[in-house]
Amino acid sequence: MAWWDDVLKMVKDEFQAVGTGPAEPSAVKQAQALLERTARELSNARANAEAAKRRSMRNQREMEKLGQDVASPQYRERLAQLHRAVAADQDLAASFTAHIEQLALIEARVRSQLERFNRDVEMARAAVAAKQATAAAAPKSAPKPSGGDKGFKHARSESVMQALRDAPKRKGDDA
Amino acid sequence: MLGHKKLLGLAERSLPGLRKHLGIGRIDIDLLPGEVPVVEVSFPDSERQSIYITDAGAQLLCIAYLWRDADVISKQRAALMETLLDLNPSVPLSSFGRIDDHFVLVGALSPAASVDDLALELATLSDNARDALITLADFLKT
Repeated sequence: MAWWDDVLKMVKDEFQAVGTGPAEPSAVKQAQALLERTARELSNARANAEAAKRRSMRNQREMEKLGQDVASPQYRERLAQLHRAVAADQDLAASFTAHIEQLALIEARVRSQLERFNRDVEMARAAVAAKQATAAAAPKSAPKPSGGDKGFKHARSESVMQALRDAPKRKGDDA
Repeated sequence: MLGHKKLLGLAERSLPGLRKHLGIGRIDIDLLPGEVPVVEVSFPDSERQSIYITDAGAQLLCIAYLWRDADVISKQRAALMETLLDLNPSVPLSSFGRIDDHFVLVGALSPAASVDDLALELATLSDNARDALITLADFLKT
């Protein structure tokens, strides 16, 4: 969706502009809220459409049942009412079926965009947090390597240790 | 997101497990001043470097600073990058990365991670950082 790509680009630009600032751009929260609301409203619209379709089918069944006993005068008026309701609802139900399918498609797309957006936001948050932590904590010079204590033997495979031991020699020889 | 106090509390609760993993008696935990919660885990009686924990929303980042761009021997730079990429998949629980001009080892945890998970992450990251500094020293200026 082109419009969405534009929104995403705008939010990314805004994140970039904010850089290492403490606050997240307000457009991010607005875009998230908008997407969540859209997905929710689509879901509600779909539920309403399905309810209308069910109601229409129920009316239809009821009318058919009454139709088997048209001689009964007490049902005649009820039958006429139902007939009118079903006639109105049947057109509606037909359009609702297409509408429900359309809504389901749109909802799936919006939800997928929301997931993509949230992932992008989380990545941007992580980058900002890492930069902020670095600004607060990073040492000015490199720590000196040392063999130090040997208190910790973890589940580190010997192949990993060998790769670490070999790495500088192997690559250094090439340079 | 975890606030400053919650992050500090989580780090403090992980201490017994971390001591057990590393076999080190003294480990200090400090909250760094600033708007973003950053907790420093330091090892005053050991030559291990500090690890910093911060909350990035969907994940807790544990960062060990290795060296800076300026510390790398220019001619070895491409080889170092390649080596780090080669090593990344096999280094336990951590990945090499770069933040600004700092080369780092980073471990990420879910914000719902347990105290034991954090202790294991910190111990492994500390070990990885120490190993990386020793074994990749040939790429660095003395």
